[in-house]
Amino acid sequence: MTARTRDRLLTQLGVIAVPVFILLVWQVSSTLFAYLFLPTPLKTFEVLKDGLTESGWLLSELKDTMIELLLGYLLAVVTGLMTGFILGMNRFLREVAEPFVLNIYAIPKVTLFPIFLFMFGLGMESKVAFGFFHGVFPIIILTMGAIKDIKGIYLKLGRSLRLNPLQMYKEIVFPSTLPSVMTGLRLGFNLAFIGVILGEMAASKSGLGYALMKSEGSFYMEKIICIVVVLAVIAVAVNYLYYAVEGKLIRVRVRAG
Amino acid sequence: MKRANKVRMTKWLVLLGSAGCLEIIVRAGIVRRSTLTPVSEMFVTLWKFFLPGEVQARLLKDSSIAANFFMTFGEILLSFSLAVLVGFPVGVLLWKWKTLGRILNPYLVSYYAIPVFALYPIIVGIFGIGMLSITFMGWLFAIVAIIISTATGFDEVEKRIYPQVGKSLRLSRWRIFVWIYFPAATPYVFTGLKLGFIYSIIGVIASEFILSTRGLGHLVRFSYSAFETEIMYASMLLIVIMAVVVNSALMRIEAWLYGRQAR
Repeated sequence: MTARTRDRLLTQLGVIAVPVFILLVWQVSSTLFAYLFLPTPLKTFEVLKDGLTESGWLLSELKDTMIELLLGYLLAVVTGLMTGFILGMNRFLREVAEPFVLNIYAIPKVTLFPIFLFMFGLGMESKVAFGFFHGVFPIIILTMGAIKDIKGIYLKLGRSLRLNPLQMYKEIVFPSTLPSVMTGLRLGFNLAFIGVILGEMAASKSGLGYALMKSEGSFYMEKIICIVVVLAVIAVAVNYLYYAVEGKLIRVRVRAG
Repeated sequence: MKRANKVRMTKWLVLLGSAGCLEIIVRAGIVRRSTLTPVSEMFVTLWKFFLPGEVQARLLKDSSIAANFFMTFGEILLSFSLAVLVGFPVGVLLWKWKTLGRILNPYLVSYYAIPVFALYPIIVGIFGIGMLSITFMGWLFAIVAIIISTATGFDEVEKRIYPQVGKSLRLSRWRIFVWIYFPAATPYVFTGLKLGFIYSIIGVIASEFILSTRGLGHLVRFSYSAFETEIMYASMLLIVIMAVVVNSALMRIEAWLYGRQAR
């Protein structure tokens, strides 16, 4: 066995060992430190199964969160791509907008949530708007940067081939901005997700974030951990989907180019 | 007019114009005062936060604004320092020990995908409501950014020629680290520190907003539920100003560091 294959095997084993290690620590600490009220992994799994099938409490909260997330994210994608495109094309507008966009990114946006409550009420609309507000900025920032960084020579080539605007977009703008835009869409999803959950945790009548805070009030550790697991699974699954699409698109591009 | 001046003027026009619009829609009675305060009054209320008087009495019964401010700032500084203290060595370790780096990489990369704030109720369940939980949350939010950028920063330096120079000069490994890796990786590490500090601010203030009894985040939450709209907007303004000032300063330092290295 060469050193290289041994190293790769060790890495793969390690990647599997991490969750096993976490489960082990969880099991040990839940049995040793009773005052933490930490349920064992097995107990949590039972609650999770019950929440998803028999009693279905988890399922109904999940549904509301997903609707909010989907709507907020969709709005963020449409507005973010359009705004990013316009700012990327126009240098003056970009230079004016850049400090605003970059600074809003750094503000703890959750403290602005009461404004959303004033505007949209306690229902699902305020979470949709808040998810949108979180998700739209990375999409703008990365789309704007991608359009700005298109190599001038590609555009010149397009012009010398007399491509019409539609062809120009399809053959030059779209393929050269795709990797960055995909990253923006992925980060936008992550932040929209955080926005929706934070909004639900702050003030809401339904959703997983709401269930988190309700269970926290009544010391339902099992439920809290179940919700965290569900959130993590959704986040990781969507991100890997994006990574897979990104990888595939880049491979197609390399083969074609 | 020079281009840069034109950009700067437009920026200020946009900022003042939007503030003016907000001011007018309240003063004209289009939006009620219970939902929005005129921007000028937000600044006045914010100023009154720091003066003894009626606003301060309404603010919080048992603590001054200064106490809340220093509480929040202390939590931010503490959580950030602890994140650097742990995150930097871990980042160096992951770079030195490549196999461990590769093992943890998929987990570190997907860390910020997970809504980390969902862990806050668990943390409160363990540490209780208070400074410990909030600081822990800020630490948890900041540390991974510092780990990732430290590891990638040193990786980036390794690909360049400088370490080879150190080797050919027969410097010891420790000296190569201190005199070559450390200065060359500074801009990358600083990017991580910048992100880490911003994440500390967000982590601390968001935790205070969701569940706590003190601090700036709590102030917004408290005044929202007490229908103290004026105080709520003034505290939001304070948080926004603080975040923007810190962020702009850090971005300037970052640009300077990268610029210095490019020369």
